[in-house]
Amino acid sequence: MTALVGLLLLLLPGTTSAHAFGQTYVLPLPFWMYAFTASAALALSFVVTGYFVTAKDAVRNVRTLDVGGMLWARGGLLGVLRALSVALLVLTLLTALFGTPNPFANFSVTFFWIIFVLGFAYVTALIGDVYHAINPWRGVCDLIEWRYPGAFRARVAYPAWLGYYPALALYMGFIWVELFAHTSPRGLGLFLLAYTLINLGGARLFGRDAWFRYGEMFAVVLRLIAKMAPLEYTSDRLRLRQPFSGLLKESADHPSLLLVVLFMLSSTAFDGVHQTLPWVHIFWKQIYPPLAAMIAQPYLFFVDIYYYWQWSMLCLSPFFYLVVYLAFIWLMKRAAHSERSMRELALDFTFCLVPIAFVYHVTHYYTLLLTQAPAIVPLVSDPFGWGWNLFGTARQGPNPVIVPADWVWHTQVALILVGHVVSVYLAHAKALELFPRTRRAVWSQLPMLVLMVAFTTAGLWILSLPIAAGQVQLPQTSAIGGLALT
Amino acid sequence: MLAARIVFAVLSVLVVAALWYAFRPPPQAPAQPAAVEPVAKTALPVPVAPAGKAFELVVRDGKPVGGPATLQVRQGEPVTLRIESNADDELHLHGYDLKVRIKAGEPATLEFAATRTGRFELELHKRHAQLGALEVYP
Repeated sequence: MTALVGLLLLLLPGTTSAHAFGQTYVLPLPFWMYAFTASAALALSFVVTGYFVTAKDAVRNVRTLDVGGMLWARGGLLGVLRALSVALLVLTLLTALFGTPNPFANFSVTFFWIIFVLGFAYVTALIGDVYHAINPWRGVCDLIEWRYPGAFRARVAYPAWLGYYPALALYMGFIWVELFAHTSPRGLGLFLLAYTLINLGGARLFGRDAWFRYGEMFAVVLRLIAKMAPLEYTSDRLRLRQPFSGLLKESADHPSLLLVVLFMLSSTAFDGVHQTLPWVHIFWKQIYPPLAAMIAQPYLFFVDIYYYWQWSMLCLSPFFYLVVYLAFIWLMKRAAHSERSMRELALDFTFCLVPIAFVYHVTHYYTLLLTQAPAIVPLVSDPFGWGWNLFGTARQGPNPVIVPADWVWHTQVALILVGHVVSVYLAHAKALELFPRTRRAVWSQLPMLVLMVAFTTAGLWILSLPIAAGQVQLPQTSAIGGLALT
Repeated sequence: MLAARIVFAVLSVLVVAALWYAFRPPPQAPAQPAAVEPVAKTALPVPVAPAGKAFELVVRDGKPVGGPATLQVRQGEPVTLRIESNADDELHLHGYDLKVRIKAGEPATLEFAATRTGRFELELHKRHAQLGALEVYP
């Protein structure tokens, strides 16, 4: 049986990198570190609880500090950034569609997957929701509207029930492209072109403001991330606030936003798990053998099925998390004797999960950012890969940073612990705000604490699994496989 | 209030430090990998490796048919990688950026010290086929 599985894996088409583009050199987390971090997460959760038990006025009004009017808005900097943002979108589209097919020599691939998707998201956690002001697709709408006034006036009022579902669907599509599409630069260009058309269509139908609030997935995801930032932009003022306090300011306004947050967490978990040995074995050792006996030539048939299986697991993943989340919200409601409905409570605590989801994302991808981001320096000089040297940097640039494995482990552990503690802290603060009686509020957090330890431990466990990517045969069966084929 | 914060901050640090101390593995003897796959039995003569690790990969039509899929070594170990293929190609070890030409039927050898930790993929350049990965543990 194992020999058979060995041969099957041998024939699987090469699924190479876990990400759409670029290489990471990350080893699975050693078991003792996994055990340590899980225990520390649990212990620190109780330290946070202890703090809220003793410190009765732990939560107070979040102070913000006005640091003046927005200089950038006055100085025309905002205009420059907007123009730059649209120009970069155009450049990305042009290089993707017409540049070299070599992804490493094409500006679009590194710029989109590494600089924008990873780098800009992490910068957003520090500087806040700048994207709202410089959204390139919104910029394109503005340009069109400037020429054709009224082009993006709402034709249909945005239906309340639709919420953030368009963004969730696009987010799922985006992660699918990232993990499974294995696109060439031109493929990426076509996807981006399609996404641009979707945004223009959405903005034309529902009006620009409604679409870029509910439909454009990067706007929705980056706005969630920006809630952690110590900077806040209100009308035309810039304010400093305590980091993460933005997550406590309001509750999620629609269940679909809860699904977006859960998908942030579950898609990263899925990316982590979908090429590990235990996961691959679920399909090929548990599901495949009994079904394979039923048809002739099962293998080729089941390779296709395997991909559909992977895709459906990705799309179902936030709903698995949702079931777990709702179960613990129900326990919390019981513990707090709260009058609030399940729906209200589920939305109240949604944003408390953002730090866990975000740090988990960072632990997965920050090494990719370090190894691939420096390549943007030569690419800027030769964006199409046609041998240009616009800024004289085409043949130079910083070397990729390859972080030693033990440093990666330590950063992963530290980030996960910090994110976990912040999430637990926020949930306690939220409970004290919602449930008037302090003691009950603190007790109500026991289920929440268990939930967060579960999410954190699940994430850690995935980081510790052996990797099967690029592994075309099982180690134990190598000799047998070799004999069978030769 | 500030006092409580300081007390709990110190408490957190102590908790983490104590757990770290409890879970930390005992210091290991150098260059003893935890789990190493045995080198596959193939028709090739087993190389005499005075120190470090030797691996052999056998490739038929761009697919590995012999040898471990994951080569596990400890940091600093000298590694000898022999590869034999029935087609011309080039073996590329990512991360270390080492390349070696392979001629059909002739074993090629790649020798290097595993100085850098991490998981590095082994790729056949011409076919863009993944052969496996080198895992270097600190």
